[in-house]
This record gives sequence, structure tokens and C-alpha cells, in this order.
Amino acid sequence: MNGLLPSLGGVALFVAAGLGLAELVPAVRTLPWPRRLAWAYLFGIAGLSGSLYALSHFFDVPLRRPAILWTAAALIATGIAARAVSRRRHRCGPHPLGPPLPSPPHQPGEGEVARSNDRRALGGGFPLSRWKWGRWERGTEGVRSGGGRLRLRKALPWAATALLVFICLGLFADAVTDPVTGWDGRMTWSTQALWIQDEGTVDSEVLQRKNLYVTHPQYPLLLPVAQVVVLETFAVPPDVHSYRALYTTFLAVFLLLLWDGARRWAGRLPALLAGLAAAGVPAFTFYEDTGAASGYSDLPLSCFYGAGLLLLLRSRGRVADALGAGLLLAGAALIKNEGALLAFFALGAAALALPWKKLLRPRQLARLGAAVLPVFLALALLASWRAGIPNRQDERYGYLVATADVWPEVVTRIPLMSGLALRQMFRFDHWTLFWIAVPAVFWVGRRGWSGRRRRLALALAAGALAPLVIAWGAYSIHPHFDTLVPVTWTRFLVQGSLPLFLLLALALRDLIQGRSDQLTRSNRLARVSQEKFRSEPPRS
Amino acid sequence: MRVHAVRSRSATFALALFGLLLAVSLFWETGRSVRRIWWAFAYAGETPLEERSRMFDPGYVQAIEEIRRKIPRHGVYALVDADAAEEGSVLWVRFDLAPRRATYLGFLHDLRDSRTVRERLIREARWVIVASVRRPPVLYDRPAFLRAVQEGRFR
Repeated sequence: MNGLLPSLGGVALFVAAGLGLAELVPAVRTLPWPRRLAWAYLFGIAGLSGSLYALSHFFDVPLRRPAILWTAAALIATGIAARAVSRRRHRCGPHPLGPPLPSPPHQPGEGEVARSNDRRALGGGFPLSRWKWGRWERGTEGVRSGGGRLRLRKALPWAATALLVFICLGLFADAVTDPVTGWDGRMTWSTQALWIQDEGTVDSEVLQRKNLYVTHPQYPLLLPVAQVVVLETFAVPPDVHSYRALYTTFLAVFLLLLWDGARRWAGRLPALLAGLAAAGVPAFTFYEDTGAASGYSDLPLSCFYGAGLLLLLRSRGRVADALGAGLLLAGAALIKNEGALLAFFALGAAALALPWKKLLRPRQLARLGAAVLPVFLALALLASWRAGIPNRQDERYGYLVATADVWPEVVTRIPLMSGLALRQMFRFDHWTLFWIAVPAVFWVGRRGWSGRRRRLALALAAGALAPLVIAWGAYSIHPHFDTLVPVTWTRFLVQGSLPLFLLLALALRDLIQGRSDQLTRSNRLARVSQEKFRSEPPRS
Repeated sequence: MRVHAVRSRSATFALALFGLLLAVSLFWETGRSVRRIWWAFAYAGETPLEERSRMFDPGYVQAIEEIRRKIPRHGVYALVDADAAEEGSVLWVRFDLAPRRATYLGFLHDLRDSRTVRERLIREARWVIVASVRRPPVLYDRPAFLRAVQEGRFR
């Protein structure tokens, strides 16, 4: 076990810095602690690493411990100041001796799960039948009819949560036991981290000298800078690989984000089931070419992109929330090349969730502006930083986009492309049975995407498909797409997975609900016929 | 009524399939987690060198350690891929030697004469490392590598 304390310390440092930023985002600062920590981790990576990236490039601030600690302290202080201001404002609001203000009744947002006042009768035969519109119904009937079953129902969520924690612990154990083994981790991200740590700047000579051998030298450096933060702050030698825990933590973050969104829109049980499905997919966990254990950037990108979209969809009124979402999308743009495109896809997908009339209101336009601003700043940083780096050892998509003939390849390549993609999706070591079971759930539970949740589902579907559209574009112009699909398709699927799993939760909600309704109906029919049978005089 | 029954059957089928997915995939992932947690306890206290020797070929790790001692931290070296096709050996060596700076000479089978090598080899590169996925990397001084190419020892 190598670097246990630096590994934990690195994660804690980003969470602490992120908690400061989370105080500025109203939709996040009121969340329960586990979920708030997940959001804080993302804010911490985007805020701390992003600031250091900009400070190093624009102001030549060396990437060393003092700069790292001062920047983290500034972010934490911002949070403390924001909390103090909000408390003072809260204190100055109603008179302390006055009567407490009546709390307004909860109005579920569009697509949000209604609370317990929504009383739809459900039967008692099906084990999940007491699950009602996202909540377990509380009552004495269950105790009377079977206390053991009720206890089991109460224990199941805890058991499921324990299982999820255990899988996350397994990943953390992997991070502190074994060195980086994933292909991209060794080829790109971790090697770049070592170069920029050595020189103490993101404008490393190694990246800037054309004759030195660097793979993808223009790839954005948010995660390598995060690795440098861990290595420098805790003064660990590179062989101790304590930065690996940064990557494995992203699975826990992903699950908590999924829980946050799915619980809100689909309810607890579907959220939990969707979380279990996600934790069971090797492509998210131990698979060494995308999983949290791999050192690849696709799961982090999925978290940043998904979280940005989630925050935009969750809170539709506040500019501060939109700014928070923009910060996360800026993080996505600084993680991978396709992150910049995904950031704009997220904004477009979030716009789909609103009716046109609402979208053009000044408040919504202000929110859009607030969300776009950090993304533009991140892109400006990226463009400025890239200007000094000659590109080599890269696919050169910019050149391909400018010169390749997209037509008719964009259509003619689809059959071969689909075959190769399906082959990846049915690989047990990537997805187990995910792409066999989930299409069935989607098909049968598609009613979960209709009605009040139609716009939400549309936005989530657009969010889930966005990376695949990028993949389609890349495969259409790449000269050797047949070799590219097998190594990248799973990664594109992972990038859009948070909205995909939210859609899964909505479909599961419909399935469970529909099943319960059906059983209620058959129970009622059985009861009626039984009563009829009793009331009828025996035929002689 | 009939529609409801069909829907109920398909919902049951979809839920059963989903249950199967959870059972299979969580069993698989839990098993992996158990193994990783066990290893974390079993290998606690290993040095980084022991750890890498456990994960990779000990010969490879030993060779990397020797090369690290010979090439200074900011030294420049040239990498040569000794495999027939691109298998990534040079990338692994480059990671293990970072932050030392690498240049790339190409495949060994392409370096037929010392003139080609001289053209590609930048002046700063005082060492040449021949990497392969099948054997540990070999370090040459610049003149020794040029001599070896000239004598045709790599053919």
C-alpha cells in the first residue's frame, strides 16, 4: 500500500477547496453532506486546478506548494465569506422575536417526483408495492401484514448503499496498491503531469519543443495539474502514484450525482437501482481502458459534463447556479478535447428542457450568459496555452475537419461503424449484460419519459447522445475509423453516461410503478370476485 | 385489460432482465473489490520498486532503475521501437523515465544505416534506448548505438 495518506489528503484538499466554491452555488450548498461533497469535489478540481492552470500560464506562478496552498486557501476563504454574508442576510431578514414565517408548500418542479401527498393507491402483494411516487409509504399496514418484509425493505437500501461503498473502497484500494497501468494514463496524462511538475509550469519546455517526443501535447491539462497538486502538496515521489485516488474518487462522485438527480426526478428506489447498475459496469470501475481504476479522463469528463447539465436542469431560476454549472462545463472543456464541444451540447440540451417562450425571457438569457461565461474563459485559456505548443503525435482533427470529405462517408460508414460499436457494447469485460438488459427496460419503461417528464427526458436524451454524435463525426472523417471505433466507442458511451443513467432511472420508475399498479388492479379484482363468490348462495 | 396484462408481463420480463444484470455485474464487481481490498492488505508496506516488480516484469523494472541512474533527471535520450509494429513499448519506457526528455527515432527495422540515425538523432540526445514489449529496454551511449547500427548488429 503506497501513499495512503497523500491519496486521502489529495482528495480532501480538492473537496475543501470545492466546498468553498459550493457555498456560492445555492442549489448545492443546501444539499445533504454526501451529495454536497460530491459536487464540492468537482468544483474543487475545476476551481483549484483551473485557477492554477491560468495562474501558471498567464502570470508564471510556479506550480509549487505555496501557490497551491494559497489558491486553495483563497477558495476556502471565499466560501467562508459567502456563508457569513448569507447568514448575516438571513439574520437581518425576519425579526428574531417575530413569529416564524410559514414555509411555502413544496411545488415539485417540472418532472420532479411529487411528495407523499400524492396518494395513489397501490396494492400490497408485490414486494415493491409500498414504493409510491419516489417514496416508501409509511404506515402500519405493512407491519401488520408482514413486519419481516418491511424490515427487509428498510434494510435493502442500506445493503445496496453498503455494496456501492464497498465497490468504491475496492477502487481506492486498487489506487493505493498498484501503479498506473491504463494505456492513456501512462501515455498522456500522468507523463504530462510529471513533465509540468518537474518544470513547475504548464508552459513546459517539453511540450513546446517540437523535436521532443510527446503524445497529444495540446491535450488540455486540468487533470495533470490536479495530479501535480497532489504530488507537490504532499511531497510524494512520482513512483508513489498517490494521484491515482483522484481518478478512482470519480466513481463515488458519479454515483452521488446520479443519486442526486435520479432521486429528485424518479425517486429513491429507481435511483438506487440505477446506481447499482452503474457500479456493476466494468467500463466505469475496473476496466483498465476507461474505468475509474484506469487513469483515463473519460469518467472525469462524464462527471463534469453530466454535473453541468444536471445543475442546469435542476435549478432553472438562479444565475448563481448557472454560473456554477458553467464552472463545471469549463472543467469539462479543460479535461479533454471533446469536453469543449460537450459543454456547448450541455447548454443546448438544457435549453431543450424549457419552452421557447420561457427560454427567451431576460432571466433565462442571463442564466445562459452566466453558464457560457466560464466556458469561454476556459476556451480562451486553452487557446492561449495551445498557441505556444506545436502539435505532433496527434490525430489532428482540426486538419481532418478542414480537409476531409465528410460526404458520403458520414452515411456510408454507418453500417460498419455500427457493427464495430455493437461488438464493443456486447463485450462482457466492458459492459457485462448492460446493453442486453437496459434496452428492454428503456422500451418497456418509455412511458416514464412522457407527460410531465417529457422535456426533461428530451434534454437528458440529447445529453446522452451528444458524445455519440461527436464520435460519429470523428469516425466519419478519420482515415482509419475501423481501428478507432474499437478503442474509443466505450469511452464515448462513458462520457454521456450520467444523463443515460438518469433516463434509466426514469424508465425504471415507470416499470416499478406500472407493475405495482397492475398488481393492485389484479388484487382488487381478486378481492371483488372473492367477495362475489362469498355472497353468492351455494348452488345445489 | 388485455393491454394491461401484456404491459405487466413485459414489465416483469424487463425487471427480471434488469435483476439478472444486477446479479451478474454486481457479483463480478464485488469479487474484484474483495480481491483489491485483500491485495491492499497483503501488499501493504511494499516499496515502490517491489510494487512495480510485482506488477511488471522484474527484468523491465530493474532495467528502468539502471537507466534512471545513468540518465540525469533533465537529460535527453532517444527512443527506438524494437517491435515489428506499434505495441506501445516506447510509451511505457517514456512514462517510467519521465521527467527525462525523449525524442523518437522510429522503428529499429527502419534504421538501416548510421546516416539515417544521424539525421534523426538530435545533438542533445546522448543516450539511445531500444525498447520492446518482449524484453527489457537496453540503454546505449550515442556512439555505441551508432556503431551497432553501422555494424548491422540489429539486423
